[in-house]
Amino acid sequence: MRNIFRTLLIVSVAATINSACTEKIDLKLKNSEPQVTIEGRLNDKSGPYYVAITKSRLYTENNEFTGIGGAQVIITDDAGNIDTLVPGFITGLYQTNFIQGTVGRTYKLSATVEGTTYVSLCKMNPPVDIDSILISTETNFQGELKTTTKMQIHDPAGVPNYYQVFSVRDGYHAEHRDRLWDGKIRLFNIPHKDLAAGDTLEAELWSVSEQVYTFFDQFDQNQNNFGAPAAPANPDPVYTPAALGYFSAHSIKSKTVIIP
Amino acid sequence: MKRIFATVFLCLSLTTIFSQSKFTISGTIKDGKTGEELIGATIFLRDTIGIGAVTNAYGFFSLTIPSSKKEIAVRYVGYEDYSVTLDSLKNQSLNVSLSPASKTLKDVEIKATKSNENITSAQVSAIKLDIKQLEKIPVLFGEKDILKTIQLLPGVQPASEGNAGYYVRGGSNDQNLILLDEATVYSPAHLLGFFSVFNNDAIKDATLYKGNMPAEYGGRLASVLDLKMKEGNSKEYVIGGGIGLISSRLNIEGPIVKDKGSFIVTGRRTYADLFLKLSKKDNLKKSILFFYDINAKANYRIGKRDRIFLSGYFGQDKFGLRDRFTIVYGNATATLRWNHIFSDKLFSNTSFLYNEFNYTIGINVASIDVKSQIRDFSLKEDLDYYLNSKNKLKFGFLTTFHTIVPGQVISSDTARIGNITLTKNYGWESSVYAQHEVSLWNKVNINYGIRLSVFTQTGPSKYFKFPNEDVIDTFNLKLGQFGKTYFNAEPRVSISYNFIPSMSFKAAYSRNTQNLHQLSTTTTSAPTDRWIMTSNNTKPEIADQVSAGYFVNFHKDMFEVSVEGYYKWMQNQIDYKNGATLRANEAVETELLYGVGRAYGAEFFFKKKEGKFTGWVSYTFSRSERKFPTVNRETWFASRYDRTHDLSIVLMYDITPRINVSATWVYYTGLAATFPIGKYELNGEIVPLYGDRNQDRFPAYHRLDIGATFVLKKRKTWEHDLNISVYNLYARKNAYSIDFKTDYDKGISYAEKTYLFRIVPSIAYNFKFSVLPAKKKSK
Repeated sequence: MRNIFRTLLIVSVAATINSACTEKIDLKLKNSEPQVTIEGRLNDKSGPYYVAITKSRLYTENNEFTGIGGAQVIITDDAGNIDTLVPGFITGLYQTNFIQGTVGRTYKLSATVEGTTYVSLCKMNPPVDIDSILISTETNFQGELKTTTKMQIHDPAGVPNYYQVFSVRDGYHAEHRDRLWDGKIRLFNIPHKDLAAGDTLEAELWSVSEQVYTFFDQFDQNQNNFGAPAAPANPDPVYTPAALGYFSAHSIKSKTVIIP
Repeated sequence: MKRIFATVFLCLSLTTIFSQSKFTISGTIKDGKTGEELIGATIFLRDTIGIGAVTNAYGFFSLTIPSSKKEIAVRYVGYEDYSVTLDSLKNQSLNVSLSPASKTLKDVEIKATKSNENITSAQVSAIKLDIKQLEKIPVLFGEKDILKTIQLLPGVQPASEGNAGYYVRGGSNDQNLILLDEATVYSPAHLLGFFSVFNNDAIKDATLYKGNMPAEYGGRLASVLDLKMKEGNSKEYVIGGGIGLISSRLNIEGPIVKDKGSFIVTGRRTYADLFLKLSKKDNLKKSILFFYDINAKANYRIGKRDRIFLSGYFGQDKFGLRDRFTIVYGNATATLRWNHIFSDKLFSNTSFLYNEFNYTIGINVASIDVKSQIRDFSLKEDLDYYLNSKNKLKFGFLTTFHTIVPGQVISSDTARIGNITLTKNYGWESSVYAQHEVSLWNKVNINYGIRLSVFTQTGPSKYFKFPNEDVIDTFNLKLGQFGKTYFNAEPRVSISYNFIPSMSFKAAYSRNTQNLHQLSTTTTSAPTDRWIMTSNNTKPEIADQVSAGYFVNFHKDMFEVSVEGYYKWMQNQIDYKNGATLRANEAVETELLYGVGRAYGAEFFFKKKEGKFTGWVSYTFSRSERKFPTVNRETWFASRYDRTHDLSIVLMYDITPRINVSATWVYYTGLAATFPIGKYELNGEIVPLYGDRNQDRFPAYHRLDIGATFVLKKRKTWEHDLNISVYNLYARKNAYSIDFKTDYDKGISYAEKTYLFRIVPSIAYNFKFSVLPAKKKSK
């Protein structure tokens, strides 16, 4: 809602007096010590699964993030599997050898980076089916015609569910929780770049843990592209001791359509 | 025993004799031209210092004087003095109509109309606004705006660029109580904050209390803005109005029966949407963007002792982007009042009040309507008892029934989310108060009192309990069943000591409590920000404020200088957890953090009140800090309401009686904000890394506005003028918001500010004419 209001405000000021504008600004920013970022994903499809480890940079530096090599990364599950990851095809990327994501199991990622061991736990929730994908043409706020897609799902009743909707081509995601519509049929917008006739849309529905949902919900609140929230902050850490990033063990259902 | 009895009797007799040697005069003071009652006019003995009275909100006064005196004077700023010699020395009524001071007489009148109420009154941290002066101050789009003007006063800061929202002494926007004819206005802004909902044409009197309010006010921590609507001209019919760049106004006032009753209706509508129609862009063409408001009031005298007032406000904003969605929101208030004079010493006012604020968001593509509302029903009684010329008592009660509809989602079948209604909440809030104003040795004025307040949550509603972090329990309250109840005693005292008549020292202490809280996660408030009530989880907010000040008038009250300092402690303040979801959340209290606050500052004010050249300089140094568990490791941090330095300069100059020019310059420290301390990569995106909250500042804000008013014609029956103003003359691009962005092609990240205005010129035309003098009703 905040976004809508800000857009409205700026549109109305601009329309009325043709004046609202943006401009680059130089600010004195405080500088943080580099912090470790660990991104780990594991799902119920076949592996290998990857863990990426990078470090934060100063805001004014360029965006050439380099991975941290030489870390010890281990993923274990509550069935007794222990998999020590091996370096992947670029520095800072690690991949699993044999471990297989299974619904209902709890996974533990531990990464030892420069002498500190960061740990995160995640349980893989059961998948929820995508019933269908609906394609339509709608006019957006700018008055342009766009192809929009939605997936219809039937939320399982009686259990809290947390979803991430993912479009494979663009890597976009959106989060939902069923607190207000438990057990109902639901339409989720699929986030993607512009689609043209003949394009293939591969949409996935991930059933994630509450912690991962909260992480991305907070992440999006602070990533607000229409205006900074009053008190931006990093998402609550999912690692102990605190590190940036997340560890998500989730189950996936997917559906592919061709845009007519 | 006999002797004691005799002594008591003697004392009583003496008292009787003593009281027999006095008499009381009472009545009302009015404007001779319009018949409007004057608030705060002084009535005093010409030859005795320190015996006087001030008219109340209804123009009523009562003055008890020694029976040897009969030379009475009446005085009010901007009016000619009035003197009378009483015919007899017994209780009597005195009704006076003062003539407005004419322009030519003004220079002569300066000495006679001297006013030093600011020095002698015990009230500290209060400002009575001069509504007429307000007309001269340049403003955005030429729309005269009372809420923008108070932001030029010490201790009051704008919430953001061009915003009607304001912060008083480090308090949040929702800690300001705004009363329009005693009814609460919850959302005082139109057009996403650019205009206040108060049409200047309808306002007669405005007083701002910055935390140290008398016991008769309560319910908010930081301030009370008490606005009184005009009663309407009781002598003749007058039509006035104005045509501006953004809006037009029209008002009609006149007698119902001459000198017995009058009415006033004022209306305003913007037409920015008409400009949108001219736009070439299709999405703007089909958009809706306007607001309107109507103020109406009528009063009627029934006999000599009774008077009835009915007043109301209705305003609405409507926005729509194409046919995609619409937002409609607005306030409504209604006040029914009954003045009754029990005796020449006891004045009573009884009010029935209704007010509501509501909004509806219609998302047309999804066929969803989201509705929300907050509404109050109140009964209020205030009694003024004029014991004698040195002692005045005031006491009464207020009882309010609050209803909050936090959100109702109404959808048609296609959206398939069904109808959701978040549980409505009900609360019952009551208070009783008593205050005593006493004047001692002609040098000391004391106003002390206490307000006892009680708030209880009630049904039919569902409430939440959180035994620990992960568990949510609910309990239900039925209609008339009371849940958690809070009692609070709020003592208030203020003292002034006059060294000499033009110099005083004042000090005050007040406790205020607040049971309605607005949740806003954005830097600027939106009309959809949610209100919640005190409950079993959320305790009443409490503030204790001490203030002290030194006030001096010199050059025959032409100049006014004051220095005030304050310190405020706040308990049960509200903030939000990281990533809080405030909307469509029934258990919204799970997202809240409760903490403490402190604010302190020094306010400097210099004003020239009379002459061709008038104006003021106001400077405030202040801090406002908060402390919450889990935020910045529970250390104090600067709140969003912290503006270290705040300077306003207002200058007005009458070149000729027909032409006046004005200029204002404002400067304040930028908003406390959280900027990135680094960045990291996540999911292939570049993400800002944040550190502790509010450790950075926006660039300082400053702006110069100028204006000029040309009186085109001024006759007895009609007048019109032209007003030209320029907002932000040197086109400073003040940051409204700052975003942090990444250019993925160039591989760099940067900060970008959004600014709303560069230079904004505007022009407005105002007119006023008397239609016909009212005919006297033949009996």
